Amino acid sequence: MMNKKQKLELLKRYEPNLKFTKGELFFPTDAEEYLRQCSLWSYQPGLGSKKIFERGEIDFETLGQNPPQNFGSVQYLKFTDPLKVAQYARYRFGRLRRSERKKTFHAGPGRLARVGYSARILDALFSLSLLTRGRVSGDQAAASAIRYRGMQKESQRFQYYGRVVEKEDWTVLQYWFFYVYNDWRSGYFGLNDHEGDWEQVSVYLFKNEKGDWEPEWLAYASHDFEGDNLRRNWKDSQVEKVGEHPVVYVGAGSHASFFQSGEYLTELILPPLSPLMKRLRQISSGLRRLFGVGNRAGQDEGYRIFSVPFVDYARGDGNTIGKGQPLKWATPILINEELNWVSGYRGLWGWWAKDPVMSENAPAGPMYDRFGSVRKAWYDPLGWAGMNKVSPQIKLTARSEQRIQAIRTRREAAENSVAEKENELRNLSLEAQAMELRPHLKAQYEQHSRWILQLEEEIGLEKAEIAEDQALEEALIRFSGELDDGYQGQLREHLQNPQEPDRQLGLRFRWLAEAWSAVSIGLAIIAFVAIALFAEQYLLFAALIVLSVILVIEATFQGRMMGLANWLTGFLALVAAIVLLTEFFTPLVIGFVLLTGGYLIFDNLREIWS
Amino acid sequence: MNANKNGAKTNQSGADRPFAVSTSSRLLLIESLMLLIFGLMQSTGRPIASLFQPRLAIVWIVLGLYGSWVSLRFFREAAGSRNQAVLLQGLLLGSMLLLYAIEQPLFAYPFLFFGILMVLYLQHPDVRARFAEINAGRDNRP
Repeated sequence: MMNKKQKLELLKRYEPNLKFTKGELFFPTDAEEYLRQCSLWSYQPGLGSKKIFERGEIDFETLGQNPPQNFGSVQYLKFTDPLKVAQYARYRFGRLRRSERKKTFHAGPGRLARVGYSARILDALFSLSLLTRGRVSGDQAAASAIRYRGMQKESQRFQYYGRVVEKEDWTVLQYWFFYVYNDWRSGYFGLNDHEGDWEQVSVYLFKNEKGDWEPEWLAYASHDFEGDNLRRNWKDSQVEKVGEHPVVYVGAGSHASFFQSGEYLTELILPPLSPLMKRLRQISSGLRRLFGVGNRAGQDEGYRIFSVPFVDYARGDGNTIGKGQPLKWATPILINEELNWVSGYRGLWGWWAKDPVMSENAPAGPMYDRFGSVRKAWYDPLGWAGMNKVSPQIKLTARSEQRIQAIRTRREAAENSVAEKENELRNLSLEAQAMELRPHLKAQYEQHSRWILQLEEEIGLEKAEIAEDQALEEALIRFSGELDDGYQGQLREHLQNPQEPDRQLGLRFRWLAEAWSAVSIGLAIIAFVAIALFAEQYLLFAALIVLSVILVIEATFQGRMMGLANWLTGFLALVAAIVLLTEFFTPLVIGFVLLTGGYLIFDNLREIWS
Repeated sequence: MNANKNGAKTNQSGADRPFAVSTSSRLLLIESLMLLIFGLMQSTGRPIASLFQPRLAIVWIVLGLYGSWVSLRFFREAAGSRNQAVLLQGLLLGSMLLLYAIEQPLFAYPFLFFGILMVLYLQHPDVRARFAEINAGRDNRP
């Protein structure tokens, strides 16, 4: 076990460089300073919210002094108060100043131009849902920015919290970052806004033969995703490093972490549509299997139709914190379950917006999720990134040898069993032969026949298993040899659906396409209403024309005219088939039957003549 | 394989041309000739469809000429010709369905039937694979 000093040294050795997008307002900060700026509240069902601690009274000590809670109660912090109109106006005008504009974020071609119509309609519904759901108010981001600026003026400090976990063959370094506010929605057209934001990056190390630490894997947290797609191998060319410090591209406002700079399309499945999406995915994959059509890598149409797209701007063109940069990390603070503020406080680290979808409510601390349950990244840092099935590279040969031995033993046992059974089979067969033409032994003969069949089946299965084991053993032996020769394995084999920067920027007439995507749904709705009001008699025809025009414009912008033509031709062929079936059902059935009969006769005669 | 002046690949020699591609191109030619004949008949004094008399004749003749050109390109396995053939079927089916919706002429049915068969045949695995290969070659050229 490492002591505190060793842990801190290790954390500092691999601490990441965080690269932000130009215009980012919030950076990893001192969580205790934030607590001092907050009041602590407790909501009790039926009683409403009550202030427990005033602003200035909370620190790491007091936060952990958690009073007993009833079912349905919520504890939360409150960082900001509503701004006065004059304060808000001053803030907004201040952002318009030329010096400020240079630092401001510009979205560029947005998310709507990159996705289809279903996603745009769902996006409109999602935006409307914010009017009915609980959400943080419009001025909260501004109030948080003003207060955070004040905190930074007093002492500019960039802080991370480090946790070191030793599990199985791995030592996990977790770097936790606290941001006072997530302004993804209000600042960057994203999914949500909320006070307080905990994000995390993990480095997985092992000890080599010399006893030195070596990093092998990295996992960057991104929203609530988990699994293999979060991690990359240290040697992967997509992992940027400054010396031993991995580079993290931080999503503007969302503070999600990415390996490469770029703009990431993050898709949210609306909860009521997720069962439908699951069913569609099953049908789609069934049809693909039936027709032998494979999925292209990363393609999942069922997923995309029922999801709302958001862009994570992780451009890395703004401030950078870390090694070799003007903005440096403060001395890290070690965290673990023994700290009362980490394990004792299960409440929210910011304003509770009473959002039933939860995304506008502040998150809980590093150890807990919004429901007060322990986060998977905390209780299972290996399983969270799919690392529980991965062994350090240097241990693979030994593990491989163990598996070869185990499979060999199993195979030898199976071979012995087969040999015994085959011997038994031969005896039974001999006895059965002896019983033939002996009517008085009919019952025994039949019993023997059944045993023979049963034994043959068992032997067949065991031989198949032996063959499989043999193939597996050979593969392991070969793999073991390759490992000895220095084979590193496929670095990205584990990635099924990795987050990659969106490269779908091949839009024609980029800005026009963007403008079109912003107005098209609204225009279509207005056009349909106008047709219904003023040209009711041509409703269907006019609606079809409007739809066609929209589809053609869209396909032109996205360079998919041929795809659209293919799709329309298929649709027309289907309509034509329905027309023919309706008009000539009986003759078509008779013709089909006659043709089938004729073909059968022809085929059989051809066989005879050949 | 040869490359034309635009760099697109064509198979003029006919070596290893799949049977489905040859058959499709012949069917395309037959379809185009039928369109040309119908267009010429429509343009005479005794049209076969009473509606859109001069315009329909022009549409069919243009489609017939376009189809003949496409069938030739298809036969030579020119890049993009499968897409053009599919587009031809879309135009043919669209015009025939429009006629069917207005006056249901008898000749529309065989055209619809032929169009459906062609759409299906153009999806034949050999045809798809061949043109996917040709288009990939075109997209990867320096």
